[in-house]
Amino acid sequence: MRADVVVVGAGPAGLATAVRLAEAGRQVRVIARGNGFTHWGAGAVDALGRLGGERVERPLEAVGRLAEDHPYRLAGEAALRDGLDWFARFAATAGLAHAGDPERNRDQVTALGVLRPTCLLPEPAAQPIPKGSGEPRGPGGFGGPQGGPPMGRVPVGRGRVAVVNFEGFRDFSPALCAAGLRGAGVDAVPASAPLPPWDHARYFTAVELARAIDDDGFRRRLAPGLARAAAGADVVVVPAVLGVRGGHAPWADLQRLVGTPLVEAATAPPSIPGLRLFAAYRRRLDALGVGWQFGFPALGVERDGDRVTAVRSEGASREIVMHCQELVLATGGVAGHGIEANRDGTLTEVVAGLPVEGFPDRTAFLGERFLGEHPLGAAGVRVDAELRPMNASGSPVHANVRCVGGLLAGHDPTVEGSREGVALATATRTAELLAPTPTPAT
Amino acid sequence: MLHVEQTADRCIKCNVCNTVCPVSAVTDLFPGPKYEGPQGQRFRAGIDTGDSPDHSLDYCSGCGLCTQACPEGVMVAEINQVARERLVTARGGLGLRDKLISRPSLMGRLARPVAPLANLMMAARPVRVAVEKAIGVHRAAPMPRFSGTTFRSWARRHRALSDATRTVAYFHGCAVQEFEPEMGAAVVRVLERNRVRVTFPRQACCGLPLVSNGDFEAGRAAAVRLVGRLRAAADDPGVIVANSTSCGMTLKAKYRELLGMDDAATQAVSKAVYDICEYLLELADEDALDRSFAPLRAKAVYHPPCQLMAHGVGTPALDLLAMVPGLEVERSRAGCCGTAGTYGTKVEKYQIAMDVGAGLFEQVTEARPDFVVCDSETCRWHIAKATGLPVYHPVQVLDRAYQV
Amino acid sequence: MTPLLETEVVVAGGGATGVAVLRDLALRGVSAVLVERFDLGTGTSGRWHGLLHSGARYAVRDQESARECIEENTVLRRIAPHTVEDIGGLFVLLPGDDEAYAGKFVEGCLASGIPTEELSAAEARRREPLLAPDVTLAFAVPDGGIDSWALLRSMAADAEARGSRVLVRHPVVGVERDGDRITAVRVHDQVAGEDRLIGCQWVVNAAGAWAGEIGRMAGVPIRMIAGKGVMVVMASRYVRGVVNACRKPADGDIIVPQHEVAILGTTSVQVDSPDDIAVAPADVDRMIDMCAQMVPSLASGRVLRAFAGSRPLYQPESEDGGASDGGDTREVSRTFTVLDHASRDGLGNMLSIVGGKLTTCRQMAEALVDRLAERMGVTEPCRTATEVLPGADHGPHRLAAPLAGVERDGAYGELICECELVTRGQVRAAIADGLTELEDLRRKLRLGYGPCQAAFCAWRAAGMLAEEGSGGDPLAGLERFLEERWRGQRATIWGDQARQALLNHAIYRGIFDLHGAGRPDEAAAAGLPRTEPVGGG
Repeated sequence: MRADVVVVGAGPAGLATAVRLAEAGRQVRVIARGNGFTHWGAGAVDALGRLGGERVERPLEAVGRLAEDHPYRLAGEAALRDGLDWFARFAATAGLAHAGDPERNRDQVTALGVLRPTCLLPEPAAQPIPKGSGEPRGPGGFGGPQGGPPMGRVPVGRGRVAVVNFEGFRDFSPALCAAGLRGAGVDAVPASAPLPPWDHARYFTAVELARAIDDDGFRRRLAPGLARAAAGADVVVVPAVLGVRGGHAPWADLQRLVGTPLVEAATAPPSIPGLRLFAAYRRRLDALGVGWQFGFPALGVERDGDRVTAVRSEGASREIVMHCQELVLATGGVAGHGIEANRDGTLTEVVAGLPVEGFPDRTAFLGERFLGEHPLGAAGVRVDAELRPMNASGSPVHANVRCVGGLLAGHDPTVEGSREGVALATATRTAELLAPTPTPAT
Repeated sequence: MLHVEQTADRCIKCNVCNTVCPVSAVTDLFPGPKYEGPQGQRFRAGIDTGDSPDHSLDYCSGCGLCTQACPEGVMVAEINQVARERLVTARGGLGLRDKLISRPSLMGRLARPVAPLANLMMAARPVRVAVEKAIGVHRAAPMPRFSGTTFRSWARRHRALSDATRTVAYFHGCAVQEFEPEMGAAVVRVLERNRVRVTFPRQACCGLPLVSNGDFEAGRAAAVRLVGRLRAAADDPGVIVANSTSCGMTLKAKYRELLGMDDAATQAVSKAVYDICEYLLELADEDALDRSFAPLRAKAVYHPPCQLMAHGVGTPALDLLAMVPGLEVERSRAGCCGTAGTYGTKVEKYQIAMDVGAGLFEQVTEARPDFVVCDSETCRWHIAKATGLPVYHPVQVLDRAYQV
Repeated sequence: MTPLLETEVVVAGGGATGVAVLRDLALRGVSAVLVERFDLGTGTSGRWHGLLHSGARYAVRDQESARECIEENTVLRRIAPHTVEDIGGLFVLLPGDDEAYAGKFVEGCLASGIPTEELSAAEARRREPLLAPDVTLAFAVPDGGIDSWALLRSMAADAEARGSRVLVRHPVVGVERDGDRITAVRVHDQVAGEDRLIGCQWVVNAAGAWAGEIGRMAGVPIRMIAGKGVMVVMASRYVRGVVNACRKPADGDIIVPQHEVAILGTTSVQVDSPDDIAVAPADVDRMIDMCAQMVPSLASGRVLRAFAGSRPLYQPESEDGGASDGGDTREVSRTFTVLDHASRDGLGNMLSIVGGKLTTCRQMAEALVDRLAERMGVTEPCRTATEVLPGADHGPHRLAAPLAGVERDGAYGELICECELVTRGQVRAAIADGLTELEDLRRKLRLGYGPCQAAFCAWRAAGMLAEEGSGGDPLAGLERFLEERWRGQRATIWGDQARQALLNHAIYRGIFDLHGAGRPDEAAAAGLPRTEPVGGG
């Protein structure tokens, strides 16, 4: 099989890279072992949330304070701006408009009630949460028997936030979320909304519930119960399950029916907003004629001198050899399965065997506290200013290989809250490097 | 088999598989691939002899989208299939219905002498109702028409190409042999148009319906027989093409993965198998494909079967169809059409199959194509019945474009 | 300080021995209170491999132990079948093993009354498909698996139903003596945060590896050697029954399947304190490499976690038997000893029980309570070998039982911990029973035991605790639980488990933005157990 550019990996970086390259006129094929961080993220676009443990308010400004080998410094601030800008337009065209300003971070509500910093938020998550009008009860108190109104009836008040779950949905606890929000000074009260009779009453996850909410009849039957549960609140926080097809239309419709702003709180995987985005990327890939094989890991490369000439991937009975002019690795670090953490402390880049700095032994992989930082999360491939992996002497290992996204060394996307931003910045830089003509507007 | 079960170790519970399962999307009788596969597997170690704990497992259609979506390499669908075999064994083997529908070549042989009558009966509603009540095949499930003549009888009369530059062996499968010999003829014509000589090694059913219904013992017997018959072709001509994507997949991977057949003969045969579109696209990559297609001004929706995606070669049919001038092709957004081989014919699963396919059928309705294209025969019959449109294998479209 | 309680006997130590003693006393009509510093089964009884000994491991060198084991093996199957996995065991011979040992093994089993059956290599592999291809011979023995917490909970429930009391989170902090008798035991109520007195006439020291500390508080010397053993928990079961190497006991010679996991064991090193539960990566590697000789696919398998426990080895004062620091403690005998401190130390009303193993806990308790009863003038005979425990009517534990239960009830939508099939109803019932900590839910229900290491169930369960208004800051409780789970994992994380850890980190820190900032080691602060117990780790 032949391709012009092969992109390995279908996470945020691989998808953005494939689309931007195709838009720039290259012929692209994507090989991926499966789905990844679109499905495992918070459903937002993080540019830079924390630096040195401190919350960042102005991400673009903070780029200058990053180390020289950070992907943002290598790709360049302009690539980050352009990447965020492109993404906002791409998402909006796909019916997934985002709010936010790269100059300033904003708060995103999560299922545990913590307000996490992020840069761009899809509209269903973008309504600001009113803070500080009620007395923060601190982490100890929460609605119900111990104080506050009984669940389900939210008295009228300014800046009151109702946190509402859909009855039977296991992956969201309004009591827990409200407790977390109150700890952040939000006047939050838990409540519950019944689901109308439907065909998944016995067993459902976020996915089935989101699909049901895609149906306008279901929304119409759902809205009154939700409105009652939220009566009197200025903003209603719900888990992020408001539809998975049809972009943001189901959320907008439900919000209109309920009559109060609805905010989707980020839940644990599978991320429904992530699924929406993934579907939009897939449709764009199909429209651009980009072929893809999802479910088949890339196993190795063929070389001729310092050029990679083909990627070998898993097939049902034989390896599939795909000849290519350019190779982009978007395989994610250890978490994305692009780097294998071995028992003896060494690390291996799984596709092309690129140099990756390992550790003296495996106890150095991880920090002492789970919620602290883990060196393994920041491990990756070192690249030059053109995103080409470098060997020890600082020269590129291959002339025609680039690395993007979580695979890159010099950053921990989880700790610093930068996963989508690094994906977009490095995708943009790669598209520039591999397609000198300006990228057309979508 | 053991290897498949051990891939359960790799599961990181990320839920990606649950997002693609077409069955759990339409019914809460099936709790999804994560539950049935790597999660349930930890509670099945074969030590509680005599009974299987499973019940909901029966609703897994075996489409395999979960295995493809999993980023960690858990062979979810295969784990389910192995567990299904235990379930079937615990229940004392396949019931009458599943024994029958797992043996398409047997059914074909029995019906052939009276094919017109058999077809008439299978189209008659009272007969179908009686069949449904008697053995549990849903009255509305699409039944292919029995052919009065077999493909092999056509092949015997067919004069081989004399000025060929290559040779391939053709694994035609039961569907072409018993139900759609004209489909097989199209495959041969397209290959011969490209100066490829086609041989017809003695063959038999690949055993896939037996395996997917859970009778591994009978499936293994079929597999061993077929491997024996195709062994020589694996060396010479060294390429075996298959037009049925599920049967091709069975030869490529299922004998090894599910039946534990890792002997040299099975390996040789597996490595020699190509899906017909995969093979034609390789010819194109080598500039050996005749691209003189006549224009076909038509609109088509192309649905890649889930079992085709499992080959790992992407969608070669799309690249081939793009070579036909005037042909507008819209790609299906569905991962699975719903029928999953014999699954959708069963009375207790028919509605699930229809609900799974609903999205595809809607897309087809909206697109208003002239026809639908799909590489797998059971999918073709299912989509044709549901949409009322003709459904062709990609090779049939190419054949048409060559002929005009 | 006025006594909190008055009772006849205080039993110190909530491990298998202490609980067995409590039950035996209850069955003989003696009122007793058991006090335990953490929760039942958080000492050695919760930190071992779960083997229901057939005794075959001792058949060559210690036939007294072997005989005790096979007798108690039979008794436990009778009185507590619901805690037993009836799975059998194999002793396998690999090339390079001493064939003469195999001969002695068979003789020793015969002499000890342990039934064995010789299997050819082919037969052995039919039984255990993952056995190494070069296994030459095997012997089948009636090993089994036993769930120590289920056993302890059963015995405690039986005792409480008959009037005994169990006080967990009440560590002994001292005793009050009047001459040669103890008049009261002072405990610290961890929940209320203050000391209490329990007036008593007799004291039983069943603190296992910590017996020396109780002795010190009572003013009597008891020299215990902490024999640390490391165990590795694999993410899946690999084997159907127990697999032992047929050779002189050494490191890494046993694989014990426990519910859905396999436990590889073990080492034996003398350490300074039974609270030393650190596991070094080299120990983990050694366990895997050694056990992989018997089951090769372990070498590429996924490790869930590793933990260590201290064998409660008693060193009699008179000899200098046993090993010096750091040496192999296998040489010290594993049969148990009842210490009557009246004759030994002039302390009239305390007995200690030291040594032993979980399989023989009932028998140990019988020996001690016989002695105590004699001193007390109680004439009721011991009935613990014949009275079945509550729950026995469920029959032996079946691996598939949790899955079969969910299937039968169609309870897929009720799962809170998906790895271990723990339902919403079970969590709710446990909270209603008074459990307030995620760690308690974990021990009682196996919540968070599975391969994903609580990636999802932790916050789901935290949500349920929040909903039931179970006091405290739910987010702090969640963070505490996560850190507790994390401890000791660094030696075992690579490959699949590294991906799991980073995904979990991406969830809790990346999405939920939890930092645990300003929350220093909560477990220590709350005096909670540092536990990584058995049965799936």
